[in-house]
Amino acid sequence: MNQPATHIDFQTSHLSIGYPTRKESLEVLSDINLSVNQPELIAIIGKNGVGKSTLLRTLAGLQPALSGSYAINGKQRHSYTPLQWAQMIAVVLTEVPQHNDFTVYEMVAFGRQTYTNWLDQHTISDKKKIQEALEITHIWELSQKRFAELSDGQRQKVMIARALAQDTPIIMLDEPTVHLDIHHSMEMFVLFQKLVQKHQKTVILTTHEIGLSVKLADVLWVIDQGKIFTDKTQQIVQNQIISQVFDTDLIRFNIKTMNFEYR
Amino acid sequence: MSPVPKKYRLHFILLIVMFFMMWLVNISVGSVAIPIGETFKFLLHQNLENDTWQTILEGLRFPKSLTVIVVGMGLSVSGLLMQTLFRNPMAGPSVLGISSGASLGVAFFLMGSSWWGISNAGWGMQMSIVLSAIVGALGVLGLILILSYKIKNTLSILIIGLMLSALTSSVISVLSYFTTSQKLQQYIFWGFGNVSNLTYNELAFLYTSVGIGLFIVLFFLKPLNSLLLGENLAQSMGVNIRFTQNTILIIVGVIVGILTAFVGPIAFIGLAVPHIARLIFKTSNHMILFPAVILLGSIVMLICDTLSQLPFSEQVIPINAVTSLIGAPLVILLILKQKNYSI
Repeated sequence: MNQPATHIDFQTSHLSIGYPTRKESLEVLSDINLSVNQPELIAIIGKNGVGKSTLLRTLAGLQPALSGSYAINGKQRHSYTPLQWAQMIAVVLTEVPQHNDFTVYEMVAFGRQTYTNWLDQHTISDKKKIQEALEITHIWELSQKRFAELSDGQRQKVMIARALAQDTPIIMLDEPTVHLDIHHSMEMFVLFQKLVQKHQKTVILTTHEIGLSVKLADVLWVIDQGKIFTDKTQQIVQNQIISQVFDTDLIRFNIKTMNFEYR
Repeated sequence: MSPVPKKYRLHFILLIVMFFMMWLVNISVGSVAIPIGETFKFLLHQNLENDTWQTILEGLRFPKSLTVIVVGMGLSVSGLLMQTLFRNPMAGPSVLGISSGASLGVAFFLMGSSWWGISNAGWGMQMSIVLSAIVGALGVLGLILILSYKIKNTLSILIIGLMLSALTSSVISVLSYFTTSQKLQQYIFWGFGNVSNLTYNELAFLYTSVGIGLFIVLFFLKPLNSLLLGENLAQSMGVNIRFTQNTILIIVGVIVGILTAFVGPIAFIGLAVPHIARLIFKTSNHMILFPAVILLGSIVMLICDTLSQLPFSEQVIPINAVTSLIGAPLVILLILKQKNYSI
């Protein structure tokens, strides 16, 4: 059985991300230097269109970087085989699978595909991992329901359970709270905290929930005007970076209440 | 997702029983009705007392039924693969113009053969038809795949498929205008779709090639399941997307090309059978759907062929007419309930 390495060494240096076009590449962000070496809850925040999702997708290996170095545990991204990479990072994306007849259990079981044989047969340890994932996300009682019949919040939990079943040290989530109300968003963040603290995962997510991120994330990566500020959440807040980036004529960030308020 | 969970075992046993029943019925029915008991004897390699029956079964109906079965399996699996690949419930060899592509290839070869001066006989001729059908099918398939990267809308792809079909048929019309009447006749007869007249040698070739294709698909059932979650998630789970897509595409192109070359374009089977399988098994799991579609494809084609013999009469209608009668209403039904379809 593959025990996840709890210690990970995640480094990017001078990474440049964006979209290659025929004539010249469209650079979204450049000179990105990130480093993670212990289980943390990391929130990538920034205004619409600054490149949060592009950064996450690049780090998740779903699109190639334009240039620079990106290594996990001393090995460059391009040196990983697809399967090795799939055992390092699991993802939860905004596009939720639709139009299928899978049950919740089958959906979560997809996480084990990285480890199963060509007939996708489950060993005892596979079944254990699936059960664990269902229990951690509190969807065990849904396991025989059809995925298509669930609510948005439940589906999101199933997709997170699928990522958990993939048994990777790193989980990356693109806007995991986007369709959820404040109650469910809070629940998600608490779940992410638990994954970091109890299950030693590194969780990296993009979000527009600045308030929740400031209160619950360990580290913030704030993207603004082509630059990334990375630091412990406390430092970011104390250095007034949140205010610099997000304050407008209408709202401002209050450091005492850790929330936005109308001017 | 272990292969064939217990709850599906009864389904499969029933389908297998049904398959053999339909096969028997298919062989018994025709302008000369042969008692089912006698056909059963024939299948068990016993000699029949009635020599005429023996000749009819051995020389005509048995090879025809074998053709029908391999066509049903091949086209249905192609339909399943295309629906998954395009994540489109309306995908199928005939609907997306893949069969038309194959027809165009054959039309170019048959009607243009006077220009490139190929003699009109023998195994080499048959192989050239096969090759041109494969090239035509793969051409359209590749084109549709490229377009489906740009257009995500299910119905738009369907319309493009219809336009491609229209385009190929008009090109074929232009070709037929410039060709000799003899060549045109040759092409038109091919186009009717004909599952009889295949020799045992040709059948061996069909079964080998379709068999190899289906065998390779076995190793792609797991990645095909992941593809249903979307390309990004599949990639994140370690699936080599391009390799999977290209291999499946080539297999579909070759299977549809070869089958179309030998029996002509057959409509709707590839589209309809995967949906029937999903209705019965209520799953999207390819580990279940793949064997189910193989069985159901053979059964449905056997039924269609039996119906086309117009039991108790001496008339025969083209099998294409029967498959369309079943398939076309199904497409309309699918469009009507677009919102909650599954693939």
